[in-house]
Amino acid sequence: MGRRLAPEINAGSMADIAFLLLVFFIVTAEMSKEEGIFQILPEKNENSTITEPVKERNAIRIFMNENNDILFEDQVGLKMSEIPKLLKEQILNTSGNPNMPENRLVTKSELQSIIDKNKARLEKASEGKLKSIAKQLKKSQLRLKALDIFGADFKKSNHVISVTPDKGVRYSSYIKLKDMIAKSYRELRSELAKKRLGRTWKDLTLEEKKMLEMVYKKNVSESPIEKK
Amino acid sequence: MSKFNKNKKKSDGPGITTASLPDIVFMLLFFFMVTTKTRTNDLSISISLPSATETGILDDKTPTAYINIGVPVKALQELYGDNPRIQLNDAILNASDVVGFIENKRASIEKSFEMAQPGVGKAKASKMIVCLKVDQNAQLGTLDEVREELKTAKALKINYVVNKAN
Repeated sequence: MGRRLAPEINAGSMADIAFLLLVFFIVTAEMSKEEGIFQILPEKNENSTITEPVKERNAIRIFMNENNDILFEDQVGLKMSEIPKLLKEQILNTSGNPNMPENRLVTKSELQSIIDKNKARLEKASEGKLKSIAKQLKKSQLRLKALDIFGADFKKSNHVISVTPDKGVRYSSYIKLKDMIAKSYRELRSELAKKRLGRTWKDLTLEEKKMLEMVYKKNVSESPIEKK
Repeated sequence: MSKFNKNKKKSDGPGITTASLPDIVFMLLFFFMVTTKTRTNDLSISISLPSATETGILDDKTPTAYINIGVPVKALQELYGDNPRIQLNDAILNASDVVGFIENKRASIEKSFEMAQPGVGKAKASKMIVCLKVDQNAQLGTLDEVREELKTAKALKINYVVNKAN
């Protein structure tokens, strides 16, 4: 009777300890999601720079000097924000201007022949290459589907955007230029999506986005290209 | 007087128990532990990232290597000068050290994935993306040197880390 129950352990300070740990983690941690611009570098050529020669009309040349001035084809004194409009005009070349990149309609038969070729390869493929060929086959089938949907807007353009910035260019200007080029493609794709599908870019399915990327395929080169 | 005192005691009610407070805080703690990764190295250079609109999000399953380029912090400028330098892991190094750094990184990625699931290490290491954190005022020349070295090391997938602008 005389014995009392053991007093409860005061848990109030537990919160303090946990807070201390929490603060430690907040300070030492960084959020893992990072935004970025992707690029795949060209492979290094041991024997000088052998790139496939490009017809002059197909090359869209963008230079940038150390004062961050832009030379687009033969136009100077441009603002960054003017680039998407000019690029879109060049890539589409709706008027068939002989000085602008050439493009032609994609035919059903040529896409079908690629599919057949991939199918034949898939049958003969070894275990190791099976996956990559299957991927290619899927891609070629998707291309045919894209032709069904986008019809006459699915053109094969031979353009190559050649970006040659000077060594002294500020990194922020360089990124801005990259951003503007990406923006031109994105605008082209979303304009087509609006026209053919009646939806904005963010309402599209992943497959539709992939198809649009095939219609307007990004083709940017940062190594100097040879004239044909 | 005694009546008055009694009334006051009644309105006080039982004290709020703080016993569940640690639970709440622990929950927050676990949230932070799971959603974040620990900062592996301190920057000896200052970097303010440029911003861009057309960006992609790096998914956290892809193995990454970080290369930082920027001007050394004030305290280190006497030692390293005030031109943009390259930082790999904890040290300020030269472009020629990039190849070695990439190879080490590849080996460590391969090893860690090999431990979890034998046979996938090599494939995972080949998927490695090199994230470039470059100060917006740096000149392209330094970046060019690094990119050339990356080509030599056959680390061709790169990602320029930027701030997302609207």
